[in-house]
Amino acid sequence: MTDTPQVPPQVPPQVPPPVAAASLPVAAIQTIGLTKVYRGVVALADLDLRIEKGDAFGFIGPNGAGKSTTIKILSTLVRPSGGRAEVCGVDVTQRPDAVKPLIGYMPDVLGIYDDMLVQEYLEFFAAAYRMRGLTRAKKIDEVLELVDLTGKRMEPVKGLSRGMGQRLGLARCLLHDPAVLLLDEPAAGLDPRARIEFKELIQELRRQGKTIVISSHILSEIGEMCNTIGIIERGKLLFSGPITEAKRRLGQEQGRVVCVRVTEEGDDGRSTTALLDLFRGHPDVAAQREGGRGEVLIRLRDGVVDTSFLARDVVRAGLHLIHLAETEMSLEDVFMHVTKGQVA
Amino acid sequence: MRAVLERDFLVLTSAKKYVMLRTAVVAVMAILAVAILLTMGVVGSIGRTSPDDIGRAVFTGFAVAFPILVLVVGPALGSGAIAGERALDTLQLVLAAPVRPGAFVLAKFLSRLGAMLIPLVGGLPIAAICFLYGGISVSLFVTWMGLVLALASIAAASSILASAYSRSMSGAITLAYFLAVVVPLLESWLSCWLLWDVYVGSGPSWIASHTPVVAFGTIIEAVVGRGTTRSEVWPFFVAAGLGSIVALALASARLSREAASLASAGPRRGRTVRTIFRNPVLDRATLGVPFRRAGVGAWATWLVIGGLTWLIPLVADFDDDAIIAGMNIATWGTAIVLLARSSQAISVERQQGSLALLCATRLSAGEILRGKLLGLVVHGAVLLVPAIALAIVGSWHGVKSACLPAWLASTGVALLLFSSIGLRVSSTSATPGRAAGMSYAIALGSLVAHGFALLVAGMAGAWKSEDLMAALVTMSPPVNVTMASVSAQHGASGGSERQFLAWGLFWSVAHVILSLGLLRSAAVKIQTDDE
Repeated sequence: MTDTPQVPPQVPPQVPPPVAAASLPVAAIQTIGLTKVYRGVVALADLDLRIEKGDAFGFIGPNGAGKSTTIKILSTLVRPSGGRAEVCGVDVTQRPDAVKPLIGYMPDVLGIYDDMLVQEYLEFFAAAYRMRGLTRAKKIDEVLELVDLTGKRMEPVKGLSRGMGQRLGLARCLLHDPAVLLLDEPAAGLDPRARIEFKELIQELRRQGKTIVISSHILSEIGEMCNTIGIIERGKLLFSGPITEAKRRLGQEQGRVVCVRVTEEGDDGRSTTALLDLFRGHPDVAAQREGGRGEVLIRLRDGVVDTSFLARDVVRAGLHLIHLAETEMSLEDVFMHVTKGQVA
Repeated sequence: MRAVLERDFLVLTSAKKYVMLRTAVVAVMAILAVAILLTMGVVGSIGRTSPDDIGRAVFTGFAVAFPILVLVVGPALGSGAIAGERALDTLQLVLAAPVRPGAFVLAKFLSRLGAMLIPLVGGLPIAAICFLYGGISVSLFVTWMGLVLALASIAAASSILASAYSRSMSGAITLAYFLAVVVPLLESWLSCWLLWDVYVGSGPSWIASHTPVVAFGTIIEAVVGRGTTRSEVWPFFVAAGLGSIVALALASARLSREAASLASAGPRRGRTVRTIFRNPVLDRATLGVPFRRAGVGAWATWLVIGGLTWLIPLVADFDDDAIIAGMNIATWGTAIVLLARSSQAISVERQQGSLALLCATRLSAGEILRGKLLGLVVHGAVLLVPAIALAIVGSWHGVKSACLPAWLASTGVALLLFSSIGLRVSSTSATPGRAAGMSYAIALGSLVAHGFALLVAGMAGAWKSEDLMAALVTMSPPVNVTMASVSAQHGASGGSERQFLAWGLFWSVAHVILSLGLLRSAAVKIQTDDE
């Protein structure tokens, strides 16, 4: 590794600028100065968040960052120590009973009753949402079909796999047709097939116009399922906005990175070393490092637009060029760049 | 086996509550000794009695307190041994490992026995202060220690048996307390009722001394000089040893069957149960009563309580006392079942994560709690059906003891209080095991506490025990159950019931107010559960 890039400066918190409430349509979720203190420990500190209707919002952060606390406050399960939280314009503290029909809450545990059948489980929660008679029966049929559990209707909840359990949990959330879904770690513990199915379900719900908040550690999935993200650490919101915006900003700060691969695997890294030597001290290269599998990641200096010199110099040096492309920032890059790995 | 034994023993003995228990046992021993001596000093009997008598009085206190502690602590420690593993889904991991079920059960037993005996051994030096005064022989002391060990053995083994046969922690705890507390008491009672009267003078007298109550009674009689038949405790040693072995063998057989059926187990389809109540929590809480998907355990509980309720009256040809006894058995049995169920009602929801789901729906905390409480009422009502039938049959026989309204009222208050204690404890307990342990500790601890008071005063000869019963028993909240028997008995005897009725009414109102306070507090705790 040569000219190892220094730790880049932190992206400053991107809090939406204060705008007069009357000038904006009602957001699906809005928090203003939301604070929660658990026995002296600050779980949330002045959280300002705005999620528009129809957004799929990925809430990411290290363990203990305050994601679950935020979701529980929005679910009316936890009272904030300060600030305000609104769901579709309704204050969760002052009118929790009005908020409950608006939200579908899915915690990080399944919360299933072992001694019930799938049908009974859904009937139980439908009754808890004051649904009666034919409406209830029809809605249960609908959600079972949506999550593809119609065939499991008469089976004990205990016998369902983890993936089916998650789908049943989602069906429970959808029974009362909420406008906002609050999903805490919904894909945890799912196998690849179940994850893909779950992702498709989320996309279908987005198409139906629901606002979805997903807290997850699996950043690649957040990247695929969501259009906006919020990064939280130690109870403070570090970034909130569209994923594309986050990547663009990080790209601007870190400069363009080009991935160059000069030979097949198995040449003992001699070609890689030669490539690193080739661009060491180059005026247009800010830093470079090995990327694994014979790749070298080259960060260009600000203002360098033309990258053709890279291919030209490699060929002139007699190296066998396999691949050369500008890399796109991943959500992991954004996350690692923004957070410090600290917990509240 | 060694791994299981070491792990369980370390986990049990390093828990914070275990350290508290150990300290509490030693403290109770010390307080008991001081209380006995102080009381004797207050009433002036120390000056009038010999040191031997003081030593005997102190020893008698310990002789009674230790077995009670064993019976309170034993089921709490033992009931989670296997049911707890089953609840956490770790049992199948153990069964899949090359561990023989017998060795696994034995390891569980030894770890529980060890954990149970450590606090008792810690209290022994205090118990030995009776030697300072004299009046107690070493052989008597050793015999008594042997009885405590035998009782601990049977308590641990029977609790593990209950744990092996129960699908849930609540079932295990209920069954364990039933086996460890109710069965010995009933065994003693039945021995007296069925054998003493029938075979007096000619029957197998050793049957009566099989029971812990009678065995400890023999010890105490020997201490106070009213009996010298210490050899009669040996049948109890044998019975306790054999009983422990049988209990462990049955538990082991149950685990073997479970291991064998693991491979063939699969999801079973079922039939849905019709919704009856508008409150879904109440609707769900009534699952498990007969004809609402009752399992084997539910039917067995109903049959056992019903059977025991009717057994004595049937044998005694429906006389007054027998009917009272039967109805009180139903009250006690139902109280124990409801205490267990109520202690699990919210803590299980919290553990499995469904409490947050419920709180996020449109149900209020009050509705959730009301559903749980009314569910308990339904379960209690079902369990009391045999006693109500008994009262009606008794009235056909012209027995005045039926006294159904008074019994129903006082039993209702008692069960409300027990349920409220369980729900309140459950609303703040992290796990069902802790909730059950704490609920039983409050309920039984209260009984033990008033037992100590009676003992102290009785030993000192300061008051007549009947006076104390009227004054102290009713002060012990869960002993409202006893009020049920008081009401029933006085309805039957036609004695000076005015005073008892006044006491009963006063404490019933107090207990209802206390229950409502506990329920309100539980609702608040549910509302703010995640905080």
